[in-house]
Amino acid sequence: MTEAMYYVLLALTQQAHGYKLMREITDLTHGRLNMGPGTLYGVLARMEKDKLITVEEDDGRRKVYSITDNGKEAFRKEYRRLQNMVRDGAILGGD
Amino acid sequence: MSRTVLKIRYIDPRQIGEFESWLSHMSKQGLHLKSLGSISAEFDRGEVVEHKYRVDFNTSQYEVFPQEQLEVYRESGWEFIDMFSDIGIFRGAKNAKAPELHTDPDELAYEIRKISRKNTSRNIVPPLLSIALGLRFSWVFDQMMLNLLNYVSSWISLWHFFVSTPILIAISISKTITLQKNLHALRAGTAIDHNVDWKKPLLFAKCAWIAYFVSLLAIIGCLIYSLATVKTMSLSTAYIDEHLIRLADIDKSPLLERFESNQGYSSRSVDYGNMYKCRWSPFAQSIISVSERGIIPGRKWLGGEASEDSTATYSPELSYTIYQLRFSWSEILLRDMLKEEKRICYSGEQGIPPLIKPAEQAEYDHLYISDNEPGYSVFASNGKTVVSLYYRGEASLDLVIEAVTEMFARLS
Repeated sequence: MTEAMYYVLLALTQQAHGYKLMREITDLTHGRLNMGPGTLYGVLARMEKDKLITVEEDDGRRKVYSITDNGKEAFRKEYRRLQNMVRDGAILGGD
Repeated sequence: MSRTVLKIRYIDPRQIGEFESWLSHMSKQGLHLKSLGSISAEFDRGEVVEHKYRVDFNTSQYEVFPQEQLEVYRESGWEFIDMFSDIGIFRGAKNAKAPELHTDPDELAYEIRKISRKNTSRNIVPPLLSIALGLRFSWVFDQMMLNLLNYVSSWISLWHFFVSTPILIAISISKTITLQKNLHALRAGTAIDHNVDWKKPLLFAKCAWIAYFVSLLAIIGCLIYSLATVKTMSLSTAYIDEHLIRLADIDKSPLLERFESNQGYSSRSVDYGNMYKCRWSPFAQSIISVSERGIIPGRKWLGGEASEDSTATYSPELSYTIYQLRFSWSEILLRDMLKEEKRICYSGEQGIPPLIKPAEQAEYDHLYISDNEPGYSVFASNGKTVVSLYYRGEASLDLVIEAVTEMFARLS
Protein backbone atom coordinates (compact mmCIF):
# COMPACT_ATOMS: atom_id res chain seq x y z
CA MET A 1 0.00 0.00 0.00
CA THR A 2 1.42 3.38 -0.99
CA GLU A 3 1.42 6.39 1.33
CA ALA A 4 -1.30 8.01 -0.81
CA MET A 5 -3.57 4.96 -0.51
CA TYR A 6 -3.00 4.78 3.24
CA TYR A 7 -4.05 8.38 3.83
CA VAL A 8 -7.03 8.22 1.46
CA LEU A 9 -8.36 5.19 3.37
CA LEU A 10 -7.70 6.95 6.66
CA ALA A 11 -9.46 10.13 5.51
CA LEU A 12 -12.43 8.12 4.31
CA THR A 13 -13.39 6.98 7.78
CA GLN A 14 -15.80 9.85 7.17
CA GLN A 15 -17.55 10.14 3.80
CA ALA A 16 -16.03 12.81 1.58
CA HIS A 17 -15.83 14.09 -1.97
CA GLY A 18 -12.61 14.68 -3.87
CA TYR A 19 -11.71 18.22 -2.89
CA LYS A 20 -12.69 17.68 0.75
CA LEU A 21 -10.52 14.55 0.83
CA MET A 22 -7.49 16.55 -0.29
CA ARG A 23 -8.01 19.06 2.54
CA GLU A 24 -8.72 16.27 5.01
CA ILE A 25 -5.43 14.57 4.18
CA THR A 26 -3.52 17.84 4.58
CA ASP A 27 -5.13 18.29 8.02
CA LEU A 28 -4.52 14.68 9.04
CA THR A 29 -0.83 14.99 8.20
CA HIS A 30 -0.55 18.47 9.78
CA GLY A 31 0.34 19.92 6.38
CA ARG A 32 3.10 17.39 5.70
CA LEU A 33 1.25 15.79 2.80
CA ASN A 34 -0.33 18.12 0.26
CA MET A 35 -1.75 15.50 -2.08
CA GLY A 36 -2.04 16.49 -5.74
CA PRO A 37 -5.41 15.99 -7.44
CA GLY A 38 -3.85 13.71 -10.08
CA THR A 39 -2.50 11.42 -7.39
CA LEU A 40 -5.82 11.50 -5.52
CA TYR A 41 -7.94 10.52 -8.51
CA GLY A 42 -5.49 7.80 -9.56
CA VAL A 43 -5.76 6.29 -6.08
CA LEU A 44 -9.56 6.67 -5.94
CA ALA A 45 -10.05 4.97 -9.31
CA ARG A 46 -7.83 2.05 -8.34
CA MET A 47 -9.29 1.56 -4.87
CA GLU A 48 -12.84 1.76 -6.20
CA LYS A 49 -11.95 -0.94 -8.71
CA ASP A 50 -10.40 -3.04 -5.92
CA LYS A 51 -13.57 -2.47 -3.80
CA LEU A 52 -11.62 -0.86 -0.96
CA ILE A 53 -13.84 2.20 -1.25
CA THR A 54 -17.28 2.79 -2.70
CA VAL A 55 -19.24 5.70 -4.16
CA GLU A 56 -22.06 6.61 -1.78
CA GLU A 57 -23.54 9.45 -3.82
CA ASP A 58 -23.09 10.58 -7.39
CA ASP A 59 -25.20 13.52 -8.54
CA GLY A 60 -23.27 13.74 -11.82
CA ARG A 61 -21.27 16.73 -10.58
CA ARG A 62 -19.75 15.37 -7.42
CA LYS A 63 -19.06 11.89 -6.04
CA VAL A 64 -19.04 11.09 -2.34
CA TYR A 65 -16.77 8.22 -1.36
CA SER A 66 -16.65 6.00 1.74
CA ILE A 67 -14.45 3.16 2.93
CA THR A 68 -15.74 -0.43 2.60
CA ASP A 69 -15.18 -3.33 5.03
CA ASN A 70 -12.47 -4.61 2.70
CA GLY A 71 -10.87 -1.18 2.82
CA LYS A 72 -10.98 -1.11 6.63
CA GLU A 73 -9.41 -4.57 6.76
CA ALA A 74 -6.67 -3.56 4.30
CA PHE A 75 -6.01 -0.40 6.32
CA ARG A 76 -5.72 -2.31 9.64
CA LYS A 77 -3.35 -4.78 8.05
CA GLU A 78 -1.16 -1.98 6.76
CA TYR A 79 -1.34 -0.18 10.11
CA ARG A 80 -0.10 -3.31 11.94
CA ARG A 81 2.66 -3.77 9.38
CA LEU A 82 3.80 -0.18 9.86
CA GLN A 83 3.59 -0.52 13.65
CA ASN A 84 5.78 -3.60 13.50
CA MET A 85 8.23 -1.80 11.27
CA VAL A 86 8.44 1.16 13.63
CA ARG A 87 8.89 -1.17 16.64
CA ASP A 88 11.63 -3.12 14.83
CA GLY A 89 13.30 0.07 13.72
CA ALA A 90 13.41 1.47 17.23
CA ILE A 91 16.69 -0.38 17.81
CA LEU A 92 18.42 2.11 15.55
CA GLY A 93 16.15 5.10 15.34
CA GLY A 94 14.51 5.13 18.77
CA ASP A 95 16.74 7.78 20.29
CA MET B 1 -2.42 37.87 -38.41
CA SER B 2 -3.90 34.50 -37.53
CA ARG B 3 -4.33 33.89 -33.85
CA THR B 4 -4.08 30.13 -34.30
CA VAL B 5 -0.74 28.48 -34.93
CA LEU B 6 -0.40 24.85 -35.93
CA LYS B 7 2.82 23.04 -35.06
CA ILE B 8 3.90 19.48 -35.68
CA ARG B 9 4.41 17.87 -32.32
CA TYR B 10 7.56 15.85 -32.68
CA ILE B 11 7.55 14.93 -29.00
CA ASP B 12 5.04 12.36 -27.81
CA PRO B 13 2.99 13.32 -24.71
CA ARG B 14 4.15 10.02 -23.18
CA GLN B 15 7.61 11.58 -23.08
CA ILE B 16 6.13 13.42 -20.12
CA GLY B 17 8.84 15.82 -18.92
CA GLU B 18 10.03 16.71 -22.42
CA PHE B 19 6.49 17.36 -23.67
CA GLU B 20 5.60 19.51 -20.66
CA SER B 21 8.75 21.62 -20.91
CA TRP B 22 8.24 22.07 -24.69
CA LEU B 23 4.70 23.39 -24.06
CA SER B 24 6.02 25.74 -21.35
CA HIS B 25 8.68 26.97 -23.76
CA MET B 26 5.97 27.69 -26.36
CA SER B 27 3.99 29.68 -23.80
CA LYS B 28 7.07 31.85 -23.23
CA GLN B 29 6.75 32.76 -26.91
CA GLY B 30 3.08 33.64 -26.53
CA LEU B 31 1.82 30.35 -27.94
CA HIS B 32 -0.66 28.67 -25.62
CA LEU B 33 -1.87 25.15 -26.31
CA LYS B 34 -5.43 24.96 -27.62
CA SER B 35 -5.82 21.40 -28.85
CA LEU B 36 -3.81 18.29 -29.51
CA GLY B 37 -3.95 16.15 -32.67
CA SER B 38 -2.28 12.88 -33.47
CA ILE B 39 0.65 14.62 -35.19
CA SER B 40 0.05 18.27 -34.47
CA ALA B 41 -0.66 20.75 -31.71
CA GLU B 42 -2.76 23.86 -32.16
CA PHE B 43 -1.76 26.99 -30.27
CA ASP B 44 -3.49 30.29 -29.60
CA ARG B 45 -1.24 33.27 -30.12
CA GLY B 46 -1.58 35.58 -27.17
CA GLU B 47 0.23 37.38 -24.40
CA VAL B 48 3.68 36.18 -23.43
CA VAL B 49 2.81 34.48 -20.15
CA GLU B 50 4.81 31.53 -18.95
CA HIS B 51 2.57 28.63 -18.09
CA LYS B 52 3.38 25.28 -16.65
CA TYR B 53 1.83 22.27 -18.32
CA ARG B 54 1.22 18.83 -16.91
CA VAL B 55 0.41 15.52 -18.55
CA ASP B 56 -2.08 13.31 -16.75
CA PHE B 57 -3.54 9.91 -17.52
CA ASN B 58 -7.22 9.12 -17.52
CA THR B 59 -7.49 6.17 -15.15
CA SER B 60 -11.26 6.38 -14.79
CA GLN B 61 -13.62 3.88 -16.33
CA TYR B 62 -14.87 6.57 -18.74
CA GLU B 63 -13.41 7.62 -22.08
CA VAL B 64 -12.96 11.19 -20.90
CA PHE B 65 -11.97 12.66 -17.55
CA PRO B 66 -15.08 12.79 -15.29
CA GLN B 67 -16.46 16.30 -14.82
CA GLU B 68 -16.05 16.03 -11.05
CA GLN B 69 -12.34 15.28 -11.43
CA LEU B 70 -11.82 18.22 -13.81
CA GLU B 71 -13.64 20.44 -11.32
CA VAL B 72 -11.27 19.44 -8.51
CA TYR B 73 -8.27 19.98 -10.80
CA ARG B 74 -9.62 23.44 -11.65
CA GLU B 75 -10.12 24.28 -7.99
CA SER B 76 -6.52 23.19 -7.44
CA GLY B 77 -5.29 25.57 -10.15
CA TRP B 78 -5.12 23.21 -13.13
CA GLU B 79 -7.11 24.04 -16.24
CA PHE B 80 -7.99 21.19 -18.60
CA ILE B 81 -6.84 21.92 -22.17
CA ASP B 82 -7.35 18.83 -24.31
CA MET B 83 -7.13 15.08 -24.43
CA PHE B 84 -5.32 12.80 -26.81
CA SER B 85 -6.15 9.12 -26.45
CA ASP B 86 -6.06 8.58 -22.67
CA ILE B 87 -3.72 11.47 -21.99
CA GLY B 88 -4.95 14.81 -20.70
CA ILE B 89 -3.05 18.09 -20.83
CA PHE B 90 -3.49 20.58 -17.99
CA ARG B 91 -2.24 24.13 -17.62
CA GLY B 92 -1.42 26.16 -14.56
CA ALA B 93 0.08 29.61 -14.06
CA LYS B 94 3.85 29.45 -13.61
CA ASN B 95 3.89 31.34 -10.32
CA ALA B 96 0.63 30.04 -8.86
CA LYS B 97 0.96 28.10 -5.63
CA ALA B 98 -1.09 25.22 -6.98
CA PRO B 99 -0.06 21.79 -5.70
CA GLU B 100 1.55 19.54 -8.28
CA LEU B 101 -0.91 17.26 -10.08
CA HIS B 102 1.07 14.25 -8.96
CA THR B 103 2.73 14.25 -5.58
CA ASP B 104 3.38 10.53 -5.17
CA PRO B 105 6.01 9.04 -7.53
CA ASP B 106 4.85 5.48 -6.70
CA GLU B 107 1.29 6.26 -7.73
CA LEU B 108 2.39 7.97 -10.94
CA ALA B 109 4.68 5.03 -11.76
CA TYR B 110 1.69 2.73 -11.33
CA GLU B 111 -0.41 4.84 -13.71
CA ILE B 112 2.34 5.06 -16.31
CA ARG B 113 2.90 1.30 -16.17
CA LYS B 114 -0.82 0.72 -16.64
CA ILE B 115 -1.07 3.14 -19.54
CA SER B 116 2.10 1.86 -21.23
CA ARG B 117 0.78 -1.71 -21.03
CA LYS B 118 -2.37 -0.50 -22.74
CA ASN B 119 -0.28 1.32 -25.33
CA THR B 120 2.23 -1.44 -25.98
CA SER B 121 0.47 -2.44 -29.18
CA ARG B 122 0.40 1.19 -30.36
CA ASN B 123 4.14 1.40 -29.86
CA ILE B 124 5.21 -2.01 -31.08
CA VAL B 125 2.73 -2.81 -33.86
CA PRO B 126 3.94 -0.22 -36.45
CA PRO B 127 7.60 -1.37 -36.38
CA LEU B 128 6.53 -5.04 -36.31
CA LEU B 129 4.16 -4.54 -39.25
CA SER B 130 6.91 -2.71 -41.05
CA ILE B 131 9.34 -5.59 -40.50
CA ALA B 132 6.71 -8.17 -41.56
CA LEU B 133 5.94 -6.18 -44.71
CA GLY B 134 9.67 -5.85 -45.37
CA LEU B 135 10.18 -9.62 -45.10
CA ARG B 136 7.35 -10.13 -47.58
CA PHE B 137 9.40 -8.18 -50.12
CA SER B 138 12.79 -9.61 -49.21
CA TRP B 139 13.03 -11.07 -52.73
CA VAL B 140 14.50 -7.74 -53.74
CA PHE B 141 17.82 -8.65 -52.08
CA ASP B 142 18.24 -11.63 -54.34
CA GLN B 143 19.77 -10.15 -57.51
CA MET B 144 19.31 -6.70 -56.02
CA MET B 145 21.08 -4.77 -58.79
CA LEU B 146 19.03 -6.42 -61.51
CA ASN B 147 15.81 -5.84 -59.56
CA LEU B 148 16.63 -2.20 -58.91
CA LEU B 149 17.18 -1.64 -62.61
CA ASN B 150 14.14 -3.53 -63.80
CA TYR B 151 11.42 -3.09 -61.18
CA VAL B 152 10.48 0.28 -59.74
CA SER B 153 8.66 -1.57 -56.92
CA SER B 154 12.08 -2.69 -55.69
CA TRP B 155 13.01 0.96 -54.98
CA ILE B 156 10.08 1.18 -52.59
CA SER B 157 11.10 -2.14 -51.01
CA LEU B 158 14.64 -0.91 -50.53
CA TRP B 159 13.44 2.37 -49.04
CA HIS B 160 11.13 0.41 -46.78
CA PHE B 161 14.03 -1.77 -45.57
CA PHE B 162 16.73 0.83 -45.18
CA VAL B 163 14.83 4.01 -44.32
CA SER B 164 11.24 3.50 -43.22
CA THR B 165 11.62 0.49 -40.91
CA PRO B 166 14.80 1.71 -39.13
CA ILE B 167 13.21 5.13 -38.56
CA LEU B 168 10.01 3.65 -37.15
CA ILE B 169 12.04 1.34 -34.90
CA ALA B 170 14.33 4.20 -33.78
CA ILE B 171 11.35 6.41 -32.88
CA SER B 172 9.64 3.57 -31.04
CA ILE B 173 12.84 2.76 -29.12
CA SER B 174 13.38 6.43 -28.27
CA LYS B 175 9.86 6.71 -26.79
CA THR B 176 10.27 3.45 -24.87
CA ILE B 177 13.62 4.55 -23.45
CA THR B 178 12.15 7.84 -22.20
CA LEU B 179 9.18 6.05 -20.66
CA GLN B 180 11.41 3.48 -18.96
CA LYS B 181 13.73 6.21 -17.67
CA ASN B 182 10.73 7.99 -16.14
CA LEU B 183 9.46 4.77 -14.60
CA HIS B 184 12.89 3.97 -13.18
CA ALA B 185 13.19 7.44 -11.66
CA LEU B 186 9.66 7.33 -10.21
CA ARG B 187 10.25 3.91 -8.66
CA ALA B 188 13.36 5.34 -7.04
CA GLY B 189 11.17 8.07 -5.54
CA THR B 190 12.24 10.86 -7.90
CA ALA B 191 9.49 13.04 -9.32
CA ILE B 192 9.23 13.77 -13.05
CA ASP B 193 11.49 16.62 -14.09
CA HIS B 194 9.07 19.09 -15.67
CA ASN B 195 11.86 21.30 -17.02
CA VAL B 196 13.94 18.62 -18.69
CA ASP B 197 15.66 19.48 -22.00
CA TRP B 198 13.19 19.03 -24.86
CA LYS B 199 15.49 20.21 -27.65
CA LYS B 200 17.45 16.98 -28.14
CA PRO B 201 14.45 14.63 -28.40
CA LEU B 202 12.70 17.15 -30.63
CA LEU B 203 15.73 17.42 -32.91
CA PHE B 204 16.05 13.65 -33.06
CA ALA B 205 12.38 13.13 -33.95
CA LYS B 206 12.41 16.04 -36.40
CA CYS B 207 15.48 14.73 -38.25
CA ALA B 208 13.99 11.22 -38.33
CA TRP B 209 10.66 12.38 -39.80
CA ILE B 210 12.31 14.77 -42.26
CA ALA B 211 14.58 11.94 -43.46
CA TYR B 212 11.50 9.73 -43.74
CA PHE B 213 9.42 12.12 -45.84
CA VAL B 214 12.22 13.58 -47.95
CA SER B 215 13.40 10.09 -48.93
CA LEU B 216 9.81 9.00 -49.60
CA LEU B 217 9.22 12.04 -51.82
CA ALA B 218 12.50 11.40 -53.63
CA ILE B 219 11.47 7.80 -54.31
CA ILE B 220 8.00 8.83 -55.49
CA GLY B 221 9.57 11.56 -57.66
CA CYS B 222 11.96 9.05 -59.27
CA LEU B 223 9.08 6.64 -59.76
CA ILE B 224 6.87 9.22 -61.48
CA TYR B 225 9.75 10.51 -63.63
CA SER B 226 10.71 6.99 -64.60
CA LEU B 227 7.14 6.10 -65.60
CA ALA B 228 6.59 9.41 -67.38
CA THR B 229 9.75 9.15 -69.49
CA VAL B 230 9.48 5.51 -70.54
CA LYS B 231 9.25 5.19 -74.33
CA THR B 232 7.75 2.04 -75.80
CA MET B 233 7.37 1.68 -79.55
CA SER B 234 6.91 -0.99 -82.16
CA LEU B 235 10.26 -1.67 -83.75
CA SER B 236 9.18 -1.20 -87.35
CA THR B 237 7.78 2.28 -86.96
CA ALA B 238 9.90 3.62 -84.15
CA TYR B 239 12.96 5.76 -84.40
CA ILE B 240 15.70 3.31 -83.76
CA ASP B 241 19.01 4.34 -82.36
CA GLU B 242 21.67 3.68 -84.98
CA HIS B 243 23.89 2.16 -82.29
CA LEU B 244 21.58 -0.79 -81.88
CA ILE B 245 21.82 -4.12 -83.61
CA ARG B 246 18.98 -5.78 -85.46
CA LEU B 247 18.13 -9.39 -86.09
CA ALA B 248 19.29 -8.94 -89.69
CA ASP B 249 22.82 -8.22 -88.39
CA ILE B 250 22.94 -11.82 -87.14
CA ASP B 251 20.57 -13.73 -89.42
CA LYS B 252 21.89 -12.26 -92.62
CA SER B 253 19.50 -13.92 -95.04
CA PRO B 254 17.96 -11.45 -97.55
CA LEU B 255 14.73 -13.42 -97.22
CA LEU B 256 14.33 -12.52 -93.52
CA GLU B 257 10.99 -10.84 -92.89
CA ARG B 258 9.47 -9.30 -89.83
CA PHE B 259 7.29 -11.76 -87.96
CA GLU B 260 4.18 -10.17 -86.62
CA SER B 261 1.98 -11.94 -84.21
CA ASN B 262 -1.52 -10.85 -83.35
CA GLN B 263 -0.87 -12.01 -79.82
CA GLY B 264 0.83 -9.58 -77.52
CA TYR B 265 -0.50 -6.35 -79.00
CA SER B 266 -1.31 -3.83 -76.35
CA SER B 267 -4.08 -1.27 -76.45
CA ARG B 268 -1.54 1.23 -77.78
CA SER B 269 -0.86 -1.18 -80.65
CA VAL B 270 2.67 -1.91 -79.63
CA ASP B 271 3.93 -5.16 -81.09
CA TYR B 272 5.65 -6.67 -78.08
CA GLY B 273 7.40 -9.19 -80.33
CA ASN B 274 9.10 -6.33 -82.18
CA MET B 275 9.56 -3.65 -79.63
CA TYR B 276 11.90 -0.88 -78.58
CA LYS B 277 11.75 0.39 -75.04
CA CYS B 278 13.88 3.06 -73.43
CA ARG B 279 13.62 4.05 -69.80
CA TRP B 280 15.38 6.11 -67.15
CA SER B 281 16.58 4.90 -63.80
CA PRO B 282 18.34 6.60 -60.87
CA PHE B 283 20.96 3.89 -61.28
CA ALA B 284 21.37 4.01 -65.06
CA GLN B 285 21.45 6.81 -67.59
CA SER B 286 19.38 4.66 -69.88
CA ILE B 287 18.06 1.14 -70.11
CA ILE B 288 17.22 0.12 -73.66
CA SER B 289 15.37 -3.10 -74.36
CA VAL B 290 14.86 -4.43 -77.85
CA SER B 291 12.98 -7.51 -78.97
CA GLU B 292 12.63 -8.62 -82.52
CA ARG B 293 11.11 -11.60 -84.28
CA GLY B 294 11.70 -12.63 -87.87
CA ILE B 295 10.65 -15.35 -90.25
CA ILE B 296 12.12 -16.81 -93.42
CA PRO B 297 9.20 -18.17 -95.43
CA GLY B 298 9.86 -21.59 -96.89
CA ARG B 299 12.80 -22.40 -94.61
CA LYS B 300 12.37 -25.03 -91.90
CA TRP B 301 14.19 -25.34 -88.55
CA LEU B 302 17.16 -27.70 -88.76
CA GLY B 303 16.40 -30.84 -86.76
CA GLY B 304 13.07 -29.41 -85.70
CA GLU B 305 14.16 -28.93 -82.08
CA ALA B 306 12.87 -25.40 -81.94
CA SER B 307 9.31 -26.48 -82.34
CA GLU B 308 7.17 -29.45 -81.52
CA ASP B 309 6.21 -29.32 -85.15
CA SER B 310 9.40 -30.24 -87.03
CA THR B 311 7.97 -28.77 -90.20
CA ALA B 312 7.57 -25.34 -88.62
CA THR B 313 8.91 -22.33 -90.49
CA TYR B 314 12.24 -20.92 -89.30
CA SER B 315 11.51 -17.89 -87.12
CA PRO B 316 14.54 -16.46 -85.30
CA GLU B 317 14.28 -14.09 -82.33
CA LEU B 318 16.55 -11.52 -80.81
CA SER B 319 16.07 -9.74 -77.52
CA TYR B 320 18.53 -7.73 -75.50
CA THR B 321 18.85 -5.04 -72.89
CA ILE B 322 21.59 -2.43 -72.70
CA TYR B 323 22.26 -0.91 -69.29
CA GLN B 324 24.32 2.26 -69.30
CA LEU B 325 25.05 2.48 -65.59
CA ARG B 326 25.78 5.63 -63.64
CA PHE B 327 28.21 3.87 -61.32
CA SER B 328 30.80 1.13 -61.74
CA TRP B 329 28.44 -1.66 -60.78
CA SER B 330 28.88 -3.72 -63.96
CA GLU B 331 30.34 -6.75 -62.19
CA ILE B 332 27.49 -6.85 -59.67
CA LEU B 333 24.92 -6.58 -62.44
CA LEU B 334 26.62 -9.31 -64.48
CA ARG B 335 26.69 -11.58 -61.44
CA ASP B 336 22.95 -11.01 -60.96
CA MET B 337 22.28 -11.71 -64.63
CA LEU B 338 24.15 -15.03 -64.53
CA LYS B 339 22.26 -15.98 -61.40
CA GLU B 340 18.98 -15.15 -63.09
CA GLU B 341 19.96 -17.15 -66.18
CA LYS B 342 20.65 -20.18 -63.97
CA ARG B 343 17.37 -19.69 -62.14
CA ILE B 344 15.40 -19.52 -65.41
CA CYS B 345 17.09 -22.66 -66.78
CA TYR B 346 16.56 -24.58 -63.51
CA SER B 347 12.91 -23.65 -63.35
CA GLY B 348 12.44 -24.63 -67.02
CA GLU B 349 10.92 -27.91 -68.11
CA GLN B 350 14.23 -29.72 -68.32
CA GLY B 351 15.71 -28.34 -65.12
CA ILE B 352 19.20 -28.54 -66.60
CA PRO B 353 21.79 -26.05 -65.34
CA PRO B 354 23.04 -23.87 -68.18
CA LEU B 355 26.62 -24.10 -69.29
CA ILE B 356 27.83 -20.56 -68.83
CA LYS B 357 31.37 -20.05 -70.06
CA PRO B 358 33.53 -17.01 -69.56
CA ALA B 359 35.02 -16.05 -72.90
CA GLU B 360 38.26 -14.19 -73.60
CA GLN B 361 37.69 -11.16 -75.77
CA ALA B 362 39.94 -8.11 -75.65
CA GLU B 363 36.97 -5.82 -76.37
CA TYR B 364 35.18 -6.67 -73.12
CA ASP B 365 35.87 -6.43 -69.44
CA HIS B 366 33.71 -9.53 -69.00
CA LEU B 367 31.98 -11.83 -71.45
CA TYR B 368 29.89 -14.90 -70.65
CA ILE B 369 28.15 -17.17 -73.08
CA SER B 370 25.41 -19.65 -72.39
CA ASP B 371 24.62 -22.17 -75.11
CA ASN B 372 20.84 -22.40 -75.26
CA GLU B 373 20.10 -24.74 -78.13
CA PRO B 374 19.01 -23.45 -80.68
CA GLY B 375 20.62 -20.13 -79.78
CA TYR B 376 22.76 -18.29 -77.27
CA SER B 377 22.62 -16.01 -74.31
CA VAL B 378 25.40 -13.47 -74.14
CA PHE B 379 26.28 -11.36 -71.10
CA ALA B 380 28.92 -8.72 -71.68
CA SER B 381 30.26 -5.65 -69.96
CA ASN B 382 32.66 -2.92 -70.85
CA GLY B 383 33.14 0.01 -68.52
CA LYS B 384 29.70 1.00 -67.24
CA THR B 385 27.85 -0.59 -70.14
CA VAL B 386 26.34 -4.03 -69.65
CA VAL B 387 24.42 -6.04 -72.23
CA SER B 388 22.28 -9.08 -71.75
CA LEU B 389 21.29 -10.66 -75.06
CA TYR B 390 19.32 -13.71 -76.07
CA TYR B 391 19.32 -14.98 -79.62
CA ARG B 392 17.19 -17.89 -80.75
CA GLY B 393 18.09 -19.03 -84.22
CA GLU B 394 20.61 -20.92 -86.27
CA ALA B 395 23.28 -18.26 -86.88
CA SER B 396 26.72 -19.09 -85.49
CA LEU B 397 27.97 -17.86 -82.13
CA ASP B 398 30.72 -15.93 -83.93
CA LEU B 399 28.10 -13.88 -85.78
CA VAL B 400 26.29 -13.13 -82.51
CA ILE B 401 29.51 -12.05 -80.75
CA GLU B 402 30.52 -10.00 -83.77
CA ALA B 403 27.20 -8.11 -83.71
CA VAL B 404 27.47 -7.49 -79.97
CA THR B 405 31.08 -6.28 -80.35
CA GLU B 406 30.02 -3.88 -83.09
CA MET B 407 27.27 -2.51 -80.89
CA PHE B 408 29.71 -1.95 -78.00
CA ALA B 409 32.07 -0.16 -80.41
CA ARG B 410 29.24 2.13 -81.55
CA LEU B 411 28.06 2.77 -77.99
CA SER B 412 31.51 3.75 -76.78
